[in-house]
Amino acid sequence: MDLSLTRPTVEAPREDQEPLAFDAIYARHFRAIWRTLRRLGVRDAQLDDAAQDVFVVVHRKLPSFDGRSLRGWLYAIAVRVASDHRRDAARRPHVQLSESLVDHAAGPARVSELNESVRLLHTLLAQLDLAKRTVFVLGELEQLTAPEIAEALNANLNTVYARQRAARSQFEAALARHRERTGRRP
Amino acid sequence: MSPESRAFLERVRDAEEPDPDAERRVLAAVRAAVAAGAAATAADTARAPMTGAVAPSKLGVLGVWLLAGGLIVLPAPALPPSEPSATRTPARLLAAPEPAPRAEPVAAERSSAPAADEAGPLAASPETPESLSKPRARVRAPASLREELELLAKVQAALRGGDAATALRQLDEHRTLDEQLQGERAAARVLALCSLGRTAEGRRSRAELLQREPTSPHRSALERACVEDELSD
Repeated sequence: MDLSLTRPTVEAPREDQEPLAFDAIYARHFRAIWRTLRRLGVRDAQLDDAAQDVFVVVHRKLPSFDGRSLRGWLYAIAVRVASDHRRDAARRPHVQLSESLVDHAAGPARVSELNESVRLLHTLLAQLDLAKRTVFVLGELEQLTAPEIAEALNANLNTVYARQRAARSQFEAALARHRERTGRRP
Repeated sequence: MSPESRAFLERVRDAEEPDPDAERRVLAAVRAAVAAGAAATAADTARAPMTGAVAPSKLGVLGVWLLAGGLIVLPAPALPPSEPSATRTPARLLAAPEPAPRAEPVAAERSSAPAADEAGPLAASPETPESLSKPRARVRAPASLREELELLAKVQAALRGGDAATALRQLDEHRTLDEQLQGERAAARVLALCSLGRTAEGRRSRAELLQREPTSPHRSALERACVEDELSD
């Protein structure tokens, strides 16, 4: 019996010295992956399934992970899974964005404000095409470096830089339009 | 970006949270899938029927086949024919609608191996000597992860049933740019080739796979493939 399937850890040296045991990876990255899936367009009704898909792939492939950039590797899987779920979702009825996903440890006023900001974020992200949206989410929100993004997407570094510039510009312009339209700071 | 934009992004960066139970719920589902995969492996090793070994997880059972995909690399020809694969096909796979054909390719700016929904048509992908030497099979748009899992289930069933030719044909007919299960596909191909007596191809494919993925979890199974021919060499 091949027990490697049930003991997904590796001993490879890595740059961030993060433990590469599955449970530790899950505990540390679940929320960020969940958030990223949502920001990459996975619908709320599919988020649990998508997150499950990501971490099953992580568990499955952890023994062969080369240990270079754990975050880049995780986000690469998340981008791919999000892509699959978006494709499936295109054939299914749409479910409205939930409003109850911000940190409720904050007070009601803060929750309301954050809900509004999150809605605005998703509105602005939806205005970016998929390629720009992906580099924007990974770079500006998840704070991956451009080389990390390039590796995660298997894309040319200069292409990533170009997409980042374009995405920032479009995002900023959309934010300014929102400000002009509502008369409020975002 | 302007300070105001940066402040906005700073504010929303960690604002979204899954519901309080999601982390535990998803972990339970992942563990269920892992346990089911391990049980399936044990059952397969014992050459026992697998009915019930692949239990659905709470959220869905995609993971079962990812993990049970490891079964593909177990030397299979000597095994008795398995039960029909449909009886072990996860509910989510069964429920999944047929993939819609792509209306038109999306222009890919990437240098190589684009994500599934950004990829151009497969026919536009770089040709390898291997692919050029093979008859062009039914060329499909890049498969989704779930489609890949479904394919691997069929390949696994064929291998377990001793029908390596069908397994190889299925692998050839369903090409993909999705790299997440590339190792599983390659491992299945090695076993199929070795089962068919195409030893040189099998060894070459195995060497390429192990060079590409030296820590492949399928390494021990792969090293058992084509071994009789190696011993007699």
